[in-house]
Amino acid sequence: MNNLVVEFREVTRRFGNVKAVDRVDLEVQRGAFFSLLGPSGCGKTTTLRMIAGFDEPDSGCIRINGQDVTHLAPFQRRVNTVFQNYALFPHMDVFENVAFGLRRRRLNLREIRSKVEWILGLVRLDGMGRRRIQQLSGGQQQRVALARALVNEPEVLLLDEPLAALDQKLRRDMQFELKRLQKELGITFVLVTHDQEEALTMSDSVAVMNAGRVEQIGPPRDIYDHPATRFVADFIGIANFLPVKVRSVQNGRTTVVLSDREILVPSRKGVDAGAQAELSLRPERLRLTRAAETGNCLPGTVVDSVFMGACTRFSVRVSEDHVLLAEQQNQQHGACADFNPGEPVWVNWGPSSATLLPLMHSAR
Amino acid sequence: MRERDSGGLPYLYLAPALLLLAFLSLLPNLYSVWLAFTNYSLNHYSDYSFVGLRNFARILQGPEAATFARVFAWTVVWAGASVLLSLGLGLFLAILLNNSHLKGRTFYRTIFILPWAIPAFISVMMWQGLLNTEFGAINLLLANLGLDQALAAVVGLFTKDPVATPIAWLNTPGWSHIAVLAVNVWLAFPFQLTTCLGALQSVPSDVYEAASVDGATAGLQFRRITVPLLRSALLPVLLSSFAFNFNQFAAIYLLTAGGPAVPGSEAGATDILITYSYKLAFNLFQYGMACAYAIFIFILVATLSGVNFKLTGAFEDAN
Repeated sequence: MNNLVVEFREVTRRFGNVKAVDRVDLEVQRGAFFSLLGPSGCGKTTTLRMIAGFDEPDSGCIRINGQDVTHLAPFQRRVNTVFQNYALFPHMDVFENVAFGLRRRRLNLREIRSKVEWILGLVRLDGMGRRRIQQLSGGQQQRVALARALVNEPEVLLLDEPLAALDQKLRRDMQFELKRLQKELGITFVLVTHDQEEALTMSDSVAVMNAGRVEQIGPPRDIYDHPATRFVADFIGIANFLPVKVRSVQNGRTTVVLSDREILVPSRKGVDAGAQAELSLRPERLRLTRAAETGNCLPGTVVDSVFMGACTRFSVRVSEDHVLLAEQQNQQHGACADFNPGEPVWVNWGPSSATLLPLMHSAR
Repeated sequence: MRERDSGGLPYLYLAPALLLLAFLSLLPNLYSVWLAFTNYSLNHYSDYSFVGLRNFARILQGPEAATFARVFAWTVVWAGASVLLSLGLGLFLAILLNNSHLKGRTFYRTIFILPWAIPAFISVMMWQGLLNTEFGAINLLLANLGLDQALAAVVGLFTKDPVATPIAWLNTPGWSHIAVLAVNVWLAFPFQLTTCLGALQSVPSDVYEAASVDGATAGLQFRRITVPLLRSALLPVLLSSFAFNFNQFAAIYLLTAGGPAVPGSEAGATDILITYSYKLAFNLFQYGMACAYAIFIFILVATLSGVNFKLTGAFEDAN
């Protein structure tokens, strides 16, 4: 048996004429923290619901632990779900909520009690078993929902925007909490989120979805540094886009032309000499200087600056139609971050800091 | 904003409404309380006088006491059965309508709400026609299906006398009880259906999904999740509809007028307290007695409402 817990093969799910999930292939490694990231309506929740068994694909195949579960009922899969609104049973106390699944499995009371106490301890709700659900705060309800799912020892825990209803601070805490639980239990977590920061900080692997398709799958770092499509570059973090024309491809380096200047970027499969393409530049990879330097650079004029604490974000006009965002660290004796609006500057970046995006692909 | 001295102006504005309330509600009620302690009746129309608690004593002792006991017992059975049957039917239909796999849900919902939308006076008159012994559609239908003889034979097994056909729905004790109950359930179930449907729809679907993940079957989900969640929503409704049916004048009065007559008693077989009280006042002109009955009814319903408010309040507390 291979090391894949969840596999999607060409899975499609239609609602009327809309393809909510369109020929999706996915592979989730055992013990991974996997995120499905995308804007609302991108199909990530439908994907999750199909793993859970609440929804069936119109075509394609879903495997869990190598077993075909495409048409199995939810309780026949070793999968459990934490719902966005927790879906706790409001008429039961914490203990009964957590024990619900164990009672269905007809465990004896001693076993149930010891398991519930073990899991309540793990989510730090010791001694809260007899509290009513309405007496709990949002964060505590979240923990009960987690405990209820985890107590059944699933192979995969599915989390549907579990932190969306919590305030910022609590959300941070719960992110750590989730990560800790996942490491401690070694269970595969599949998280659905529209919050890119959440996906980047928590996951081992991220699938970015858009309009029912998976745009890119990979570790957070890869996705951030080497976005596969314009959508991914735009959705994750901030990106500047510049249209370029490819001049030559050589030894893994591609030379493109931008405002009559030759610029070196890492090569990309499918982007050949003569093609129109697009350059994606992260604002924090851009360096502003007063004097021209060798290497990749563009002249421009500072239009605006915004102080952001750790850094300052400058808007630099480099052509009639294009304004680049460039973030400069604020050093203690802030030598580099004091450009005034109207000042002419040079925008510099290293050859590997830019990503070349094929134009046709992004216009798909 | 600074508070202004408006003098008596607000009272002037309120005066029309207060006067209207006083004349239409407060004074008649006080007057009927006063009448309950007098011998005001056809025999003492112009010379009635204060008789203390004599009317109440008459209700609770002597020949009238038997009538009161019988009418009171039937009133409780009537109200209880009406609530339970209409709730049972309403809940059953609500569960069906709440199933998203059911096609044409809106159509059915509309159809089922109709009995509620038609004024009860009209539909009860309609039912009276349907239940007519010789010409009613129900007896006609039973006869055409050959069911009237069968029904009479089956029921005849449990009664001393053979059952006559066509069945006199509104004129035989027993049958008339069944008829008024059936019509009242028909009148009342849309309300219960709406309440149940609202309560069912307030249960988020992910709660059921969460239960299904843990292997809870449909039956188990109903018992462990639906019923407990409905209970708190339905208990206040049950109590208030019991109180409402306790005074459901129209269904009885328009259908059977309390009949059929019971020998030796002023109250008919299907009379409930409110229709009997009406009969005492406007057919028999015993105003004092009628008012004493009205006060009894008031005390009973007020107690029930008190319990209801208490329970409802307790629920708010628990939540």
